[in-house]
Amino acid sequence: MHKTLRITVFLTAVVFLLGVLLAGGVFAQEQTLTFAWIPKALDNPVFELGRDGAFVKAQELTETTDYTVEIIYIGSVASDAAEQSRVVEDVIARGVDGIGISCNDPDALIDVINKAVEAGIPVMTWDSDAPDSERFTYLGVSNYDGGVAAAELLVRFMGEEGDVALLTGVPGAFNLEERIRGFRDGVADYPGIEIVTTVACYDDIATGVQVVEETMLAYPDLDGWFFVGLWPLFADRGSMPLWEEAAASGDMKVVAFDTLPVQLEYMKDGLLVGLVGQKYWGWGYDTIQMLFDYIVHDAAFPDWTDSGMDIVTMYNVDAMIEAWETSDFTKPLPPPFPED
Amino acid sequence: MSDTTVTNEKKEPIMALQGVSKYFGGVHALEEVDFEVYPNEIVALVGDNGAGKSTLIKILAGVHQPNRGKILFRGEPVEIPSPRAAQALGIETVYQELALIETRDVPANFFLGREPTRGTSGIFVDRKKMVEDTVRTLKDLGIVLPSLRTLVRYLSGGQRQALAIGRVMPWGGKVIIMDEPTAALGVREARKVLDLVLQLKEKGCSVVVISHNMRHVFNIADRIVVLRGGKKAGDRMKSETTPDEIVKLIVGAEML
Amino acid sequence: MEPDKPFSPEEDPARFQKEGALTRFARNQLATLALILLAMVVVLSLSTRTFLTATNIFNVLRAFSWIAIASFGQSIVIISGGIDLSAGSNMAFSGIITAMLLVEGVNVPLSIGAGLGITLLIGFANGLMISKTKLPPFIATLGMMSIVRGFCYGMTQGWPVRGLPRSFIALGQTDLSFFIWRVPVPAIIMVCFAVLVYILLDKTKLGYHTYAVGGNEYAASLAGIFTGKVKNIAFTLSGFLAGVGGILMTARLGVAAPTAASGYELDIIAAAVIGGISLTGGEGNVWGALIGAAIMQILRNALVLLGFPAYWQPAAIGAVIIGAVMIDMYRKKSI
Ligand SMILES: Nc1ncnc2c1ncn2[C@@H]1O[C@H](COP(=O)(O)OP(=O)(O)OP(=O)(O)O)[C@@H](O)[C@H]1O
Ligand SMILES: [Mg+2]
Repeated sequence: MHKTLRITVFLTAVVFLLGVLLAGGVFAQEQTLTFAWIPKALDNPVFELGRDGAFVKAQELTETTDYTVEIIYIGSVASDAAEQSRVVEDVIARGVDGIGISCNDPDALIDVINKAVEAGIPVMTWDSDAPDSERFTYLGVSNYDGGVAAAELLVRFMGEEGDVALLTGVPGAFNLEERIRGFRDGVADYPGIEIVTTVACYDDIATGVQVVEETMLAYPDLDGWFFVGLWPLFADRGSMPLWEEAAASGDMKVVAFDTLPVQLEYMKDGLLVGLVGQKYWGWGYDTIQMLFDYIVHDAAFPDWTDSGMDIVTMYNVDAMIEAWETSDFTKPLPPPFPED
Repeated sequence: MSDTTVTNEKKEPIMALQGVSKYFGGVHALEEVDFEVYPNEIVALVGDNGAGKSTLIKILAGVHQPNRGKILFRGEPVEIPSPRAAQALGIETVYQELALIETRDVPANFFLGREPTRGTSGIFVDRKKMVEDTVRTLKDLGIVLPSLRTLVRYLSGGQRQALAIGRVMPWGGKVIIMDEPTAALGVREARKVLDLVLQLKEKGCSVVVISHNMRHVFNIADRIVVLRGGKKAGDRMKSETTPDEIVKLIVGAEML
Repeated sequence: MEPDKPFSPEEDPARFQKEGALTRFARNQLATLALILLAMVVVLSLSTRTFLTATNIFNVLRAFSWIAIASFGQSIVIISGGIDLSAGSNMAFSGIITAMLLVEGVNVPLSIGAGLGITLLIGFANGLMISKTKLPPFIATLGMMSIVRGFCYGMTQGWPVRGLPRSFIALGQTDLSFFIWRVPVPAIIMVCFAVLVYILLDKTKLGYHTYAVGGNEYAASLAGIFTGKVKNIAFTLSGFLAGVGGILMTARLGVAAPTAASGYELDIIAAAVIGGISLTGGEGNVWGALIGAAIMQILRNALVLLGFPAYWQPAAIGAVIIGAVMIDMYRKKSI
């Protein structure tokens, strides 16, 4: 009885809202759509790339459609689910038209996401999902698949046997653990490959440099590395003399997650053989397009939208460098292994 | 006020409080108190717990600033904005709480705040001089302590009191204030402190002593000032009063 | 030490001082700490083939030098009865200011001067908040930690500052020859600051007053010490020394990241406390902090060299912190 009443009220509200939206489309030539684009934290530079993508897409949409699309870039300074929830509440109070968010915690943000959806603000997640919430889709990669891809890259360059070390950030971070799980499964088929140690740097560059060098001392005959993130690579050349020497000699092959310019430099110099990167730029660029399509064109999306991964090797690194230099990530990357 | 009989007319006080009041929030620790210290005399300041004795001497020592009233030093109105200013005027104080640093050794406490320095820079502490002077003063006063390296934390209550008293001696103060200097002392040590007070007087100093011990007070004091509830309840030359009268002034029985 | 044997004033004070030096060693924190450190070194030398190599030792030295330098400043503050939670943020900030100026083409000494000057001012601001407005140090520096971190993010927009000139990076990556060894410059700078801070705390009037304020602030003020001034200087020095650490770290890595040194304040404080600097103030010395920092870093080094699983490392580090402080307390009780 009550339930039917509630559903009726809800449906009326939805119809009313849709009516308002449609009417807006018909009567107002220049309707403004405001989207909040919320990263996990403001202290991580890769999110700025996504932000740039979001702004570029907003510009494109404003120029090519009847809508003026505006982006609010807002988030907690450091990764913090509670703080991020507060940010979402603020955005709801401000009354935006759509939200794209990278969740700091799959569960902690369910409440606010549902609250936004109840308030008539569609929400989608990108990079980091809250699968049990009412978000209409998730745009992201499978970190597990990324780990598998990294393993394949390493095997390809290192061969089917060797001692490998892993460098991770904060133990227990879900995305990092998924990459490691993927990597382990990826090398499991090769009995000659042994993961001799896993070191953690707690997302700190200095600690990263330190533990990599210490590992080089402890395992001087290492054949391969998988950097689950790029932390020590932010440091300048000369910071990791032992690692650099081994990597430059070609006896040790290094693959890493992410495809930032610093890493591309390392790759150009032959210190990194393979990179697996998320499409940071697409986090913003594609999210805004999807929000727009969802609201304006009523588009339907699957529960999970694969954003795909960039695989970078010496064969296509130049294209990636060019994309960074021109800030144009719209062109598809050449294949990592042209002979395939 | 009728109780106040000033009998020391021939001399001018070296230090005086006139109409001094001190409030701590709502607590009236001192109200309209006049208090004089004459050259070369021993004044005992008595009163019940919370009567305002420590507050009064802390005004003399530059720790508290009076809310109302004047401080005179050698007849001149002065402000004593800090303990350092009091030291500069020649006022030395042994506090009831002893004011020792438990985590430091004996010489560091002995020279606390006034460490001698080497040369003229005023930067580097002359540790050798500190140790020698500490040894000499303690020896002169007959104070026995375990090794000077001992942290004050490990000294007994009496040893601490001896140290707190001993350290004000070398500075040539003209007015020495002692807040309950015999509180933690054994009979023999208390006697030594009383002798020390008498010696100070002989040397020409004035001494203000706070004590709850009537025997001690009548042993050494020239004059006895009584505080009750922050007001001055009496000011008597020792020769003109009796322990009974003083006790009555302290507890206010006279008024009943 | 025989506390019941009275000190005889007849004794020659010079002899007393000699005796003091001996007893001081016997009950000194440093003795226990040095033993803990030595034990770690022996065990590691026997159980790994790499620990005692020059490369590793200097690697460790370099890595803990900036934590140690910051912990010297922290020691001054803790001895004065305070705590400085903004140390980690200050390390990051001095590096960022210096790096940003260097990238703009400003010369090396001026850039370093600016980085150090800023953290010195931040330390001074901490001191003012604590001495003038009487904020508890924990709160004042907690707030400052966040403010400074915010500036780190804001000024860099989250990006690490890279592309620093070699002449600057040399400061962190060069080794100087000492007899047969090549000692990293940061380690030499660390030793210099240790000596300076030792002299400051142990030999100067200001040092005596710092201990006094931390030991009993009220007593110090009754003795005529301007406690506010002492605290101010302590926090200012802590800011400055954190700045020095931050610049060395930046020079070592060749990058100034806004996230750098996050959480280092706890390592810095832990180094001081392991080194016997009592959090209640008034006690301890800079050599303790130095050894404390060394113990922390050698432990981290050991865990990697021994292949100790990364996921278990925090537990091992926590156990060693507690263990080291407990051994020291046991020693204190037994004298
Ligand atoms: N700093 C302070 N803040 C608030 N109240 C104070 C302070 N100092 C003293 N008082 C109050 O002032 C009154 C007088 O205190 P004072 O210490 O002068 O007493 P006293 O005569 O020395 O007592 P005792 O014999 O117990 O030492 C008391 O009620 C005390 O609680
Ligand atoms: Mg008192």
